[in-house]
Order: sequence, then structure tokens, then C-alpha cells
Amino acid sequence: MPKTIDETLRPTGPLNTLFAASSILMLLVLGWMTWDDYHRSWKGYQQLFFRLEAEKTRAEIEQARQDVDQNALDDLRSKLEAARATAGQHAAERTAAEDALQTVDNDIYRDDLIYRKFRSTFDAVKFDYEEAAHAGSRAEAALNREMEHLAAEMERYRVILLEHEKRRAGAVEGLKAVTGQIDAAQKQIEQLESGTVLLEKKLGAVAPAGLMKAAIALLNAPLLDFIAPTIRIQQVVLERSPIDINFTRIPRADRCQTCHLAADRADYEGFEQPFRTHPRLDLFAGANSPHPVDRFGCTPCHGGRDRAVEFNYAVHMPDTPVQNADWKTKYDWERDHYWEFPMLERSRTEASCLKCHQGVVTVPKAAHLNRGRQIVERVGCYGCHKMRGFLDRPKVAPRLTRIASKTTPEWTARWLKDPKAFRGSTRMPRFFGLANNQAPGDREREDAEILGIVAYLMAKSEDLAYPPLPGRGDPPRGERLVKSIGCMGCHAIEKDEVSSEVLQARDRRESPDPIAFERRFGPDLSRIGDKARPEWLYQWVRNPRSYNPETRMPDLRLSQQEALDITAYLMTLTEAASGDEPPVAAPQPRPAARDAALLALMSQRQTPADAQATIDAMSGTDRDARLGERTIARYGCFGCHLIPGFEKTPAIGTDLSEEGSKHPDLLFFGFQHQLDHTAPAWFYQKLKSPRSFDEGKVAPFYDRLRMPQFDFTDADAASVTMVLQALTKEKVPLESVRRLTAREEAVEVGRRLVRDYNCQGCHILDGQGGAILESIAFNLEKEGKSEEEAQSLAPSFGPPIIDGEGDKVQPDWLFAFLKSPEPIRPWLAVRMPTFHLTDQEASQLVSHFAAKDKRTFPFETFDRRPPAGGDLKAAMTMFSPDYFDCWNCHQQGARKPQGPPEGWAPDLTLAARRLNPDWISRWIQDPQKLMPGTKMPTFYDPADPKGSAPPDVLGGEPDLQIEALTQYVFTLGQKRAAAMGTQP
Amino acid sequence: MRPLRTPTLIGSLLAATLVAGAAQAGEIVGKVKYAGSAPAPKKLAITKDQAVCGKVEHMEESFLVAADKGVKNVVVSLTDPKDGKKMTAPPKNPTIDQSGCRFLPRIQIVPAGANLDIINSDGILHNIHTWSKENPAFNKAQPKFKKVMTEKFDKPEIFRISCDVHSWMTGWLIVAGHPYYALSDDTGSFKVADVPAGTYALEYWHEKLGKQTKQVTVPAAGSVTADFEYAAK
Repeated sequence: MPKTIDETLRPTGPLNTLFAASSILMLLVLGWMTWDDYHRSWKGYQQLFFRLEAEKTRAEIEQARQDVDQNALDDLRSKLEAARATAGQHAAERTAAEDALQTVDNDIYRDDLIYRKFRSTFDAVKFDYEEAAHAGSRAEAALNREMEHLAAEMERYRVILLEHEKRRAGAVEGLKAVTGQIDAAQKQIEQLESGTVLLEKKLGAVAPAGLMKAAIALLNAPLLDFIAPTIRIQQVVLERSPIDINFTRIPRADRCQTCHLAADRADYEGFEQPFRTHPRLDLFAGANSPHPVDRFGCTPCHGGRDRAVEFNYAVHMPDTPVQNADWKTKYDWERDHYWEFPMLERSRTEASCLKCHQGVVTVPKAAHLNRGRQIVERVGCYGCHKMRGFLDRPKVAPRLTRIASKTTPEWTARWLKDPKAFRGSTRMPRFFGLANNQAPGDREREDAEILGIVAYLMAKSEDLAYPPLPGRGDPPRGERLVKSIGCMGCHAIEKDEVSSEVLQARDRRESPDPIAFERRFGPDLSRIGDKARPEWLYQWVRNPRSYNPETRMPDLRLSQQEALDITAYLMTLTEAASGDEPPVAAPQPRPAARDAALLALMSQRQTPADAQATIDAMSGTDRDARLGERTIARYGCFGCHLIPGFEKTPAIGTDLSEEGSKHPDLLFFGFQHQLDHTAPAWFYQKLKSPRSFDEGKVAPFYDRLRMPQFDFTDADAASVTMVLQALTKEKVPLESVRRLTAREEAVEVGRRLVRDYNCQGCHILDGQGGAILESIAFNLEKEGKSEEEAQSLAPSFGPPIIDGEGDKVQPDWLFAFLKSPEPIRPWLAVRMPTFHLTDQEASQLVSHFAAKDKRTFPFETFDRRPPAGGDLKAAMTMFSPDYFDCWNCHQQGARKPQGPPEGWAPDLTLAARRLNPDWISRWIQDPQKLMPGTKMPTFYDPADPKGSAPPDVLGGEPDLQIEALTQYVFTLGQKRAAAMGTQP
Repeated sequence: MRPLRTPTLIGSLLAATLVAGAAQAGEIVGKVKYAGSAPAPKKLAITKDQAVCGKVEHMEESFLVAADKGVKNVVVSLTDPKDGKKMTAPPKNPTIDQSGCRFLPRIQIVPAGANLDIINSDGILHNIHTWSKENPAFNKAQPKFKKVMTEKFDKPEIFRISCDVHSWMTGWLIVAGHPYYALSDDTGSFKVADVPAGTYALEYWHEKLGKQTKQVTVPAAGSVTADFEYAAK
């Protein structure tokens, strides 16, 4: 029997239940899907932000209401009431006035219509007439009459309308007389409340209520939110700075502001992220800043994934371990492995400035980055590692081609073993005794290597055969010279100036450097007596270039006796004299270790037997030299020093030109698993402890890590890490690069020279520098002055501030002065050294100053006519003792003023060749403004120039007097110059 | 007699309140000494304008100690007066006179915001160079025709003044915010008057010996002695 339909069909009851259940389930799933799709973290942030904004606006409304002068408001309100009352009393008049106005308006409306009717008819008839006249038709006359009639009517009504206008004005006046007070009072109240009203409007927009609220909720609902949502992604599309995604470049679309809604708004400082105002809104992100967010976006400076709207996906990178842990808990943060441009940590955001600000010595306002680059320049990383931006820098360390003439092999060996034990502030890093060479036998081998290097260098060194010293020097005189003529601008004698506790703390990197950065330009001279041969030292201070043609040490035009005194003094600066414990012991000869090392090295290319045979055939000194040569080749000493035999050898370090873009997977972390797996963490570790990545690794000595230990402080290591992060492979399109104008370029080229010659060691330039003042103040204190007095007196005994030099001096004089300085300020013991600048360098410096001060360069005409008649008499009167008494302090050619040289002022006859007459006027007007703290007093009180001017000269007019003085000073000594045959 | 009774009553009441008010203030007296040996008097070299400056003998006056060890020119002041009283300007402006190429007096106290008259009695070029930090520093010339220059200082401070034309000239200005200042005389004695009762930190300042403070309690009436001895340097 075939089954009935009822038997084959499944039971409907359970099926119904199943279908119902699954439908409901699917509905729920659909609902959940929609919600999951719709619900985004950024929407939550936006809603939170709107709430915050509403709260803030409410608080502002409260404040505005309180600020509204309640008394004034009440006063106005009562005035309004009173005005209304009076108006009420004169209700009849008011109605009459309003009626009158209404009547006039009606008349105007009616007559205006009539006027228009006539005008349009006139236009039409005029057209017909013109046609008829042209065609010569018979209708011409009739049309003409019609036209004239219409014109007359038009004119009549035009006049009527004008009359109506007059009447209307009168009616308005009349009404105003009645209701004017009310209007005025109302307007004033509105003004008082305008602030509040605006805020309330804003509140309405930000926190809608009632019907608006429902409408907005609808607009933001799922499926409907494509129309005009209020909660939406904010993005800035930047064509100008595309993202390189390997196979193409796409425009950037920065969506950061979807959550960081207040980044470019000024009122949200101090709020919790992501709603905080961007710091330095006047410099970044603000509409009036050089980097407005709508043109620059966010990711060109910060990095990160531009199109992301979710915290982790945007590749935010934590700045500190604390922040790291915090984010792990709050956001389940994990580093995104796939995005090649992670966001820069907050403390290292400046790294990205270098992308666009190219070709400058310092990036304006990027202090940390500039510091990092300064450290790189000072320490010489580019010596071993090729780095874009440092490609044409000279070698950072002295040449070793003549080392035998300068010092002894014993000193050289001790120095190599541990440079910092001899001179704590040296830039030379430590190569030996580091973490990856602590196994048994390593110490002996390193001693052998050191002695090998010394043997090699001494063997290859040129011997300049210095003659013996030509006389006896006097150390106390030498000390006075060294501490006063200017050595202390680039050098320091640290053991004299700083207590040993501070120096030890510095050596342990526990405290910042106690000596100014500029005074570490040249080496610390505390123990120079142990290092240098006296014959070498004497020749060096007299003429540094004879030993090292590339040196930046200038010559101070020392006489023979001065040089002898200085040499004698410097030779007394030894370890024994300072009473400190002797440093690390000298390396001992280790013949066995040396031979073993040589064998290992040479067996790389030959059989051990052959290698051993070669070694046996060499003498002891030859073996030393050979080991030394191999060691120098391995450690790359020639990266920083010029070494004979290695003049052309390429540097051994990794090319760092694109290190900032390096993926962490390409960096070898070794067993340092405590580090974050990010490139900056690796860089920092490498800088602080370069050989730590060898820990736990097995390798023969010639395969171990070689980077030496620079003993960076934490802050310095962070700054250099920033520089590394700045060197990326990102290519910024040319239109985005900050291009320098010709003037800015001149400034930058000169600034490079200023940095290279350490002008700021002595001078204050660009508002910084004057490091030598530290030493001058120290000497004044030693003479018995109080600390406060020494600090305030030091600038008077120090080199001049050279900000504004371009404005002040004539360019050809400055050129001649830089090439060959002459004394200008007789009271100064410090001397401007002779730097032996090339013509090009001197020109670049002169144009640097001129460009900074926007001065016409290089040629300018001056009015060199001497004053005559009344002006000459006036000037000479003002110079006389009863008036300004200038010759009391100023030199006049060969005539010297009274008193000791410390009290003298510059020779005024120099002005003709040297100064810009404009500047002379400004100087006489207010010297303290141009050079604060100068000894030249202000003769014309800036608050009351006329009151302080001599009343009986040139009518007591300060301007005329200053002009006469300027011209007099500027043309002084012209007769003498003419007599000498020189150009004044 | 009746017409006189009311004014007498009022008058005596007034007097009583005045007396009562005055009775709330005490004074601080004392002597400042130096424990070490007094420095030998040094003559200053006059290197310029001998005709005017050479008339008087100039001695080094930065460290004057009397035979009984009293130190001259110590400025004694309260560092923390609580009544907010300001120093009143005297009827005639305080002066500093450049006479015989010296600043007379060497140390002058001027109320904050009051005028100081700087006089040039010598008839030759002098200048006033102030080394102040709180007040704007200035360096103003005072030629012969500018006999008097008036300056005002707004912030309380102690600073040095010097003349650049005559480098040996040194003086000091005390700009006082409150009236509780005193200057020790030749014997090192000083008196700070009209101090409201209370405990204060009393500061002794000398240009060479520096600043030292000491706690002092001023009674409601009468005086308290606050001697001080600087340690030997």
C-alpha cells in the first residue's frame, strides 16, 4: 500500500515550531548582524564628544549668564518697561503714527505699480517707434506722440514717488519718536544677551532636544545613515602627500579626526584623549598655523594608518612602558605587524619634520630633533654609517698620520683601552672590555690587539722631528692666558671648574653635563700634560694647521713667549697633579694571545699550517703591527680618523639612510626578548648597549658585534633614536618640501659654518651661545666677587653679542675682519682668533649676517660728507666734557683715554670703515636696546628723549642732534685715512 | 563747662584709641657683628678725572667693620610681614648723590613705586647702571647739564648700581615693598620700628657677607633684641 500524504509529510506541528524557532533565530541574528555592523567604536567616541561639548556649552552659558552684568540688564529692563509704559500712555499718538506710516507705504506701493506700468509700456512703445523710424513707416509720428506722453507720465510718477519717500522718512521719524526708546532699550538688551543667545543656539545644535533629537536619531539609524548623518567619518584627503603601498601610490585619506574631534579647536586643552586640543595650535593643526590640518592632515607628521578609524588598526604606538601596559588593558593593544609606517611615539614626533624641512642646519622649533642631529654630528656616527644628510661631513676625529710626533705609545695604549678613564667627556667610544668580550682569554687578546694597533700606528706615523722648545715658559702666566684669551670658549679644564663628585655623577650618566655643550667642542684639557709632548704642544698652539691642515682649531696669534707660557702651564695639567687615582692600567704585552689571534685571523684564508709558518717568519714587532692592522680594519677606526694605509677604505657600518623605514623583522634581536618588537626599541637598545645582541650567542672573536660603546645618557639615546626614525625611505613630492628662499639659504649656509667653527662657544648668536661666559664668571668668582656680581659682570668681559651684526657693520669690513681680525674692544682680554677661512667661507658668513638682517648686500653707498657749519659745531659741543664727554672713554686713533684699558671704549675712528651709519644713529638713541648690558649709557632716555637732550644744542631737538653726532662719528679720521692712502 | 565736655570726651577717646593702636607695635633693635678679623682698609685707585674725583680720598667701603666687630651697612628687614602695609613715600624724594665720584649714600632705601632723585653734584659725566633683575635694568648717562634724574622702581629688590665711566663707583639700592627696613650704622646697631606683634623671619643682608635669616618674636609693646654675628669667612 503506497504511503498516504499524511504519512510521508513530516508532522506539521513540530515543523511549525522548527520554522518559527529558526525564523526568530534568524531575525535575532539579523538584528545582531546589523547592530554589529553598525556599532563602531568611533561612533561611541563621537557621541561622547557631543556630550562633552554639550556639557561644556552649558557651562559656558552659565558663565555667560553670570558675566552679563545683572545690574545693567535690570536697569535696561526697567528702562524698557518705562518706555513701554510711556508708549502705552501715548497709545493714541502711537496708533496715529503707525497709521500715517501705513498710509504712506500704501501710497508708495500703489504709485510704484503705476510707475512701473508706465515705464514698461514706454519701453515697448519706444521699441516700436525705433523700428518704425528705421523702416520709415507712417506710424512713426503717432508712436512718437505716444512715447512722449508716456515719458511725461513716467516722470510725473517718479517725482511723486520721491515725494512719498520724503513723507515716509517723516512718518518713520514720527514713529521713532514714540517708540524709539523701546527699540533702543531692546537692542541694548539683545547686545548684552547676545553671547548667551549664540551659546544657546550652539547648544541646540550640539544637544538637540525633543523633535530635533528624534530626527537626528533617525538620520543616524542603520540603513538610513547614508543620507546626512551627524555621526560620520571625518576625513581629509591629501593628493599632495600620497602613500606608497608598494605597487602604487594612492592619495592619503586621514580619518584621525573621526575620533580626535577637537584636535584643531582651541578650547579643549587638558581634556582626556582623544578629545584634547593639539599642542602648539599656533604651529600645528590650527587654521592660522604653518601646518593647517586641512592641507597637511595628520599622518604625514605622525605616521600610522591613515584610513583606519579604530584604535589598534590606526597603529598607535605607546610612548612609555607604562602607556604600553595601559593600552594593553584598555584597548587590548598589539603592534600591527603589517603596516610599514607605524605612528611615531609622542615624544619622538619631531622625527618626521626632516622629511619636508630639508637642507637646513636646525629645523625651527624642533629642539629635540636638532639636539639629536647635533649629537650625531658631534659624535660622528656618519663616520662608520652612511647617513643621508651627513654625506659631505669631514671626519670627526683627529688624523693619526703623525701620531708619533704628538704623543707616546704608552699613552696611546692606555687611551685605546679605555678612553673615558682618561677623559670622561671624550667623544671617542670604548671598543675594548665590552660585554661580548668577557670570556676567559678575551682580555689578553684585547690587550694584544691594543698593543698591535699602537705598533701599527707608530710604525706608519710620520715623524715631524719637532725642535726643542726655544725658551722657558712661566706656568702661572700661562694659566692666566689660557683662562682669559679665549681658549675656554671651545675647551674646558673640567677638573678645575667642577667638583669631582659632579664629574663622577656625570661619568655614571646620573646627571646632565655640567659644562656647556659648546665648551666640549675641543677636548677637555684637564690631563693634557700626560698626553702631549711639549714640543708638539708648543707648535700646536702657535700654528695648529702645521700639524693638521683640516683642524678647526684657530690660531690666537700668540707671541713666542705666550706660547711657551701656555705650553708650560698645560704640561702641568696631569693626573699626578690633580691627585686623582690612576686610571685603568696599561695593556700588558701578551705574545701568546697575540700569536693565537693572528693564527685565527690568517687561517680564514689559508690552512693553519701555512698561517703558522708565516707568523713564525715575522718578528715580534711585525706581528704586533700585523695584528694591529687587522684590528683597525675590523673595527673601522678609519671611519673617524685618517689612518695611513686606510685612506680610501670604505666605512664598515650599516647604511642608515633609510633606517627609519626598517621593518623590525629585519633587525636582529638576539636573546633580548624583554624588548618590544619595534624598530625604535631596537635602536635605543643598540645605542645604549651596542653589543648586547651578542649575549648568549656563540661566535669567534672576529665575528662578534663591533659597534663601540658611546655611553649615551637616556635622553641622548632617545634623541639619536629620533634621528634614526627621521631617516625614512618616504619620498615627499617636491611641492610639499619646504623650499628655502635665496635669503633663507644664505642664512643656512652660514649657519653651517657657524656650527662647524663653534662661533657660539664665545658669541651669543641666534639668541644662544656665549658658553665662554661660564668660564669668565667662574674666574671672577675666584677673584673674590660674589656669584651674583660675577654673573652680571661676565658679559662685560666677554665677546660681543653678534645678533644684528649684519645690520651693524659694513660687509667688506666684516670680510676683512673675519679673514684677519684686529682688536676693537680694548678692555677685553679675549681675542677673536684667526680661523684661516677661505674666501668662500668668509663670504658665506658675511652674506649670512646680511641675509639675517635683510640688509642690502654686498654693495651699498654711504654719505661720507663730513658735517659742516652748525652741525659740526653742535657735534663738537656734544663731544665736549661739559656735555656727553665721549673722549672720556672712547679711543681716538692713537690717543688713549684716561685710566686702565678695562675702562676704555672702542676707537671711534674705526667707524668710517666699519659701521653702518644707520646703526650708529640707533646706537646713540638707545644702546641698551641693541646690546643689553653694554657699558655705553643711554644719553637719550627712551621715555623722554627731548627732556634728556642738551637744550642749547640745535634747538634741543634729539633727532637733529643724533644726526649731527652720527655724521661726525662716521666721518672721523677721514683725513688720517686719506693721508695713509687707504679708502675710508 | 558743658560745651567743653563733649569735645573733651571725644578727644580723649581718640587719644585712647591712638595710644591703644600704637601699643600694638614693638620694635626690633640689635647689633650685627662679624666673627672674623676686620679687613684692612684699602684705598681705591682713582684713574680718571683726577681734578674732580681726586679731591677726596676713596676707601674701599664694601666691608666696614668697627673696632668692636660691628658691621656697617647691613640691611635688616622682615621677610614676611603680615599686615600688607606699604612703605610710605617720604615727603622729599630719597636721593643718591654722585659727589666726589662716590655714591652718597652708598646704600639707599627707596619705597617701591616712589621716586628716587639721582643727583650729579660733580659736574662731570657720570652714569647710573643698575644691575636689577625684577625691575627693568637700565644704564642712563648723567652729563653735566642733567643735574637731577628721577627714577622709579616698582618691584621690591636689592641690587647694585655702578658707574661705567668711573669703574670704582659702587652703590646699592633697596627697593622696599614694606616699611620694616633698617640699616646698621658705624657700630653695627640698627632699629626696626613700629613692627606689629608677632613672629617673623628677620633677614640680615650685607653686600659681602651675604644673606642670613633668624626668627624673632616682636612683643605687643617695647623692643626685642635681635643681635646677629656673621661667621668668619
